[in-house]
Amino acid sequence: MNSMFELKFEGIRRRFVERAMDQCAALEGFVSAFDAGESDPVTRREVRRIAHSLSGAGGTFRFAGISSSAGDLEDCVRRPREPSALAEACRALIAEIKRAAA
Amino acid sequence: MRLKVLYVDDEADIREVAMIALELDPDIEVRIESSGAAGVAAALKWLPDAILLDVMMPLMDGPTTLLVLKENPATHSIPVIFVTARAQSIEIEQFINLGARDVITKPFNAMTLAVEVRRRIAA
Repeated sequence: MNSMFELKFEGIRRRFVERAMDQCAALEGFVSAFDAGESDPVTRREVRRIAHSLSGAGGTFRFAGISSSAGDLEDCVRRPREPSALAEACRALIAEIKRAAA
Repeated sequence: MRLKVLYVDDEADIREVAMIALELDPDIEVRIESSGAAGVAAALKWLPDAILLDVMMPLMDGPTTLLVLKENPATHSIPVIFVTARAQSIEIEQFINLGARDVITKPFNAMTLAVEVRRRIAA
């Protein structure tokens, strides 16, 4: 294993967690909207963008839980699901992000 | 063989990890750009041997960037590899039909990215 690579990787990985925490705040806002029964196309598109991003990056940074939950959320938002299902999928992703940041 | 690789992604942490991953191969020179437009400009100036393109980017997404590169004689023949999360087989087929050389799915393994890129360029 290349130790210089690992050192740099760890630094970038920490910054990824910070970014994920920022996106967590946005996701919490979307949960409130979904809980209120709202799921307009603009919100769904933004949720999908965040989920898609975290799905790919989460795995690259060795956070399998974030990657998997983000993938589930992306699948959920792609389909005509009820806002309550979207809220649940958002909550699962938020929990994984907070676990990674703890 | 020396290789110049341009990596275009709007997410800073992914750009950085791709850079250090590709630089594990001492014969790969890497440049990174944060948008499709900046990627096109860099490709015209630097003429890389391969371009790795994120699909979902704001303003100019990966497929649009590919079309712009293909329309320009200076960049037309540079192999473009899409890098995207959770690509479904129908999407991969669409990307190949657009002119992409191949698709690497995120999450990618940072330890083997350089090998994956070389393998796809050689194919």
